[in-house]
Amino acid sequence: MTLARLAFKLQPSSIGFAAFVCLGLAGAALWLTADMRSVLEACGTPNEPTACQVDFAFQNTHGQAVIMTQMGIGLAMYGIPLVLGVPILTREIEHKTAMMAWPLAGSRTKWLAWRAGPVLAVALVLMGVMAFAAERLAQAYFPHDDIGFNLYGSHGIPLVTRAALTFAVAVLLGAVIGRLLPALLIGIVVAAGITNGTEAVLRSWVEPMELTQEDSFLTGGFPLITDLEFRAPDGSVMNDVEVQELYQAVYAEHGEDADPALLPREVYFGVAADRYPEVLIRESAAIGGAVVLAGVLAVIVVQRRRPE
Amino acid sequence: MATQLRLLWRMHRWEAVFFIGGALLLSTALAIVAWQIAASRDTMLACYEQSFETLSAECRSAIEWGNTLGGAVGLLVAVTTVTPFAAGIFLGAPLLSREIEHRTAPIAWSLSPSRSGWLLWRTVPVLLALVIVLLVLGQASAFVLDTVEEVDLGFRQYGMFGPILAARGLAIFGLGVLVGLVLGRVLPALLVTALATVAIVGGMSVGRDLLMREEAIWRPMGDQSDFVHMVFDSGFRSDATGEIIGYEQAYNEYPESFDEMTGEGGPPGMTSVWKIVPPDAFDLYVAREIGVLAATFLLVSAAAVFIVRRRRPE
Repeated sequence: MTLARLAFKLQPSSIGFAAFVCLGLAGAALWLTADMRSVLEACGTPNEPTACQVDFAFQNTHGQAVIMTQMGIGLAMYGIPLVLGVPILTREIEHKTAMMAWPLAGSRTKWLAWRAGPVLAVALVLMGVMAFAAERLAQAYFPHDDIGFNLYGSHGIPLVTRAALTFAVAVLLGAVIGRLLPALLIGIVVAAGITNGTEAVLRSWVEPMELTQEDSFLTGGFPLITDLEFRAPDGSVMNDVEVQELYQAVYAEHGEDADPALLPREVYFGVAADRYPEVLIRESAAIGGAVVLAGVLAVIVVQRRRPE
Repeated sequence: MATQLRLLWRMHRWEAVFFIGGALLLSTALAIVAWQIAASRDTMLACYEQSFETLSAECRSAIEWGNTLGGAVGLLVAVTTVTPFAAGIFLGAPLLSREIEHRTAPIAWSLSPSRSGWLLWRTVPVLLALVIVLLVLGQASAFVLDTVEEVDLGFRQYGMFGPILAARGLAIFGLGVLVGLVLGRVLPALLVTALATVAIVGGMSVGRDLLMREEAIWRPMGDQSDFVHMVFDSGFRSDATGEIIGYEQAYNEYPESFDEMTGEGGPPGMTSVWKIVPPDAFDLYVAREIGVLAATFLLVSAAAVFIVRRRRPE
């Protein structure tokens, strides 16, 4: 218990900052959610607001505030784990307290666990609160649809797993570099890499399939679109030039009222919104593995690092 | 002098390489992209004149390259907009807080004939480097935006180019130095400066918006529709009395004068007007913001000098 208290006392500014930012953003998200829901309470009455019928219900009234809040959450989900994770080891190495603590501790692994564990717990709680609020906000903004893969990664469980990965990498960077500012700066670059990397592999977790009309974003869902293909009326695949030629030929012969069955058909490939849990489980498992790997590497670095 | 500079470099080389070097690299990338866009413009225009079916392989690759350059412009300009704030925070906040935290400041203060002189030697070289690279970055960004945009740069590109980048970096750097001096610890100084920066950016944005609304004037809608971006209201002005009514009121009172399908048209004897900040006011707004930022910098610098003189050597 003393060690946990010490871990908190060593990082009052980062933990205070993290709590201020995460709870502030979560509060803003929940307030906006409640405000948008209160508008929908008038649905079904003679003077029901337009938000009751249209898909982009709150674009004009709440759009800017929602986007700003989501942007803040998107930055905080990487920034806060960095601010919490990087100083855990760099401060002790920089201030040369690690060289006293390591010989006194029975095991460096345990020492690291006691330093990082309580901070990780705080980070997970704060990220959990923010992820929950972001999930509510995303759903409230599109009250008539399944939000599916809309803003995937910046709300709900994917937000927490990505933040946990950033935290683990931040601890590892701190252990390797041993200095606060350089580790923080490299951490920013690595966090940008994590963002792009997780986005890039998202489409590989499950096999993309041809999306049916019901799965399409045109009918209000939010699938993960991976590819677009054009098909001729006979079902054969067409390239861009063939598509243009067919459009021109059909319009030249039939004019603007041409039968849509004669025109090229857009076929979307991707992952339907109802396969979200499948993607979530696979991605969470992969990111969880990466978190464990980064943690193990941090332990190895701490065990082998010279107490200088 | 050389010793002072060498010492400064050794203490802050990481941040200097990351932000000063990074800003120079970014400026180079912007200049290269602008040059490439200018160089491929004629080819692209010639290609766009061809019909889609007969596009040659060269044209396809030229168009693809043009699209890549277009994407790069968006990304590079976005990074350019954020750079002054990030550089100001990361160069300013640790500059003095690190020396206080590592307890080298009290030694330096007791050895230095004047604490103000010590403060100048610590801050001015970094400040000069920061301002110079941000001015270069602002110019490079203006170059690329000028190449891409078909109209004069103005409110739509506010804060993305020109000397305002250097002014923003200057003010945030000064603030970071002051916060670092007060708190005396690197991480808290970074975090507080970051929060203060968010507050300043938000405050400036709200203040600018209020000022624009206050100073916006009614003008007839004309040929300037392509480059007027700060439109705050619109309606119809009576040619006889000068009275202005909103669209909704005009539609309710004169429904027959509007096209049912498109909503175009307007009441007879009335001119369409909008409440705008004219594009030629752009320079004034930039100059005002630079003035406010410069004043902020002077204020925080004076506070920093005051504090460094009075701070206990603990």
